[in-house]
Amino acid sequence: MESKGQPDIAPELWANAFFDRIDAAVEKGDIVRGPRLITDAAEGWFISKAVADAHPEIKTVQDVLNNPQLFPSKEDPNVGQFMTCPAGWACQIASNNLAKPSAFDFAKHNFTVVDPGSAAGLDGAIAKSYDREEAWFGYYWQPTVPITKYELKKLDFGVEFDKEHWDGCLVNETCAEPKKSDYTPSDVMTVVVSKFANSHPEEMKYLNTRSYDSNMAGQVIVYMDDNQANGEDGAYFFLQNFEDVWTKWVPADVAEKIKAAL
Amino acid sequence: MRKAIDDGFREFTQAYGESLEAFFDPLLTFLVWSEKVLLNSPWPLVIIAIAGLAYLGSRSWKLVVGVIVAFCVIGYLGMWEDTMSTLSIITVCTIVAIAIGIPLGILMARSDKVQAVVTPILDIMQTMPSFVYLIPVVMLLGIGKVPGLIAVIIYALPPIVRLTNLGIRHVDPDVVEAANAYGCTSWQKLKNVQIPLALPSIFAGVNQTIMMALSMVVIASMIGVKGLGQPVLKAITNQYFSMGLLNGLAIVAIAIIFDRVSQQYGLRIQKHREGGHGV
Repeated sequence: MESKGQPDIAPELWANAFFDRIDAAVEKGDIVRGPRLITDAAEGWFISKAVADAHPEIKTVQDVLNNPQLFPSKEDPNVGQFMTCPAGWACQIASNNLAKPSAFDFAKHNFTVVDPGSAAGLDGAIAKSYDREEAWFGYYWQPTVPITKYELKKLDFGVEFDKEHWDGCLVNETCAEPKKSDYTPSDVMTVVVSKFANSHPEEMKYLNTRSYDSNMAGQVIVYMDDNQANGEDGAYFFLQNFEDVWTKWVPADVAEKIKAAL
Repeated sequence: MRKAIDDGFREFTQAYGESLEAFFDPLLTFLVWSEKVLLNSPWPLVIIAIAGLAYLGSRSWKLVVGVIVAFCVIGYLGMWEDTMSTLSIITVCTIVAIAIGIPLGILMARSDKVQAVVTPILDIMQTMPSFVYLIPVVMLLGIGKVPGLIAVIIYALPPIVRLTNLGIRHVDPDVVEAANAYGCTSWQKLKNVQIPLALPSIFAGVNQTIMMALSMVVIASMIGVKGLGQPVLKAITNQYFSMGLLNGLAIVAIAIIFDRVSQQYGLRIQKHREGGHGV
């Protein structure tokens, strides 16, 4: 987009990996960034519904770490199990760094880090824990189908997000002494090429007001997943069921037109 | 229809998942134990043990030196722990595959009906893309060693079954007739005539089974099996060429050692048998 001016709009850009490029392009005047699209998109550590229901007192990562017996590893029931991000993903580095002795110290709390190997392995393990009402503790991100469908509960890290430490150390494999930090917030935004933004003020008004939360997005994608629906079906489901969300994004007369067309 | 199958499967996991898991528990204990033994023993001891086994199997000093050098290089390059995990799961897989495969192959050779039933099943096992059955296995048993083991065995079992069957069926009918004429019981005929004569083919099957088991290491690591597969996966997703190559070569080294030892052993027992029968 920054070099060719194409496409005009990136409607949902997960920006964490390319902040540098976006900032540079905004500065040069090539693109315009919209507000946060998904207000609470996040990566983090989650626990399964079964254990969240049985132990409502578990709210933070520390609470989990104090109870390894609730998350027994299959191979050694005396040890708690944390399922990290699949091998080779960037998130694995940060999650594993946070598990080190200088941060959350999994070893001292008798927790072991298990690599699910692939997204399919991770999803399968979560699905199994839900179907069988078992305990599960691991990495995931929202909005996604498993988070909503399997009702995973996000844990509070109990500490502030330390941006400098995160960018400077936790995301590097060589991070010598990782410290505790909340997970980096996921910035999901709309990015528009400047030329388009300047010549389409009406459309920009819509793009700049459009935003929703993970819970709503989750319900739509779970509907799509359950019914093996395509994008169009999902859009209809959204328009029919979340009127109070989208009517705020468009002028009243447009909203009426959409309602009439449904 | 698809939804019905999915829902049916979900109900099945809910109803039987736990008992199935309990059924596989002894296997898991064995796997964990064998990995612990390999990981917790001091490395020189492990190398000596493996070299000793290699010598017992092959009686070849060249091979023993090769084994020692290969494992020293693996250790030097920091792949020792992953190699031990892989070694343990591959050893167990090979043993299980042989224990199931050879009897099944013999059964197939003795009955055309069994062969007619088993052959298509083997075809399915070999051609079905692994992820199709990996995910149901994960839903049933979770991620980890046992599901990985099952996946590897599903893929690695067919060659030994096929080649055992083929080997026995290809034993010269004149020889079998002669055995019958001497009044051999069915068991004597199998043990003393058919299996010894089918050995080259059976050992080719063992070799193929080991190779296929090792080639599944990377796939198995996609459902959380520890070992050399995980660094390979990491290397694939991040384009770490050297990391992928080194771990890949470690898998190759294990494969070659397993293969040479088993082949030499096979040759040796065939020589002995042939000598014993005065052929």
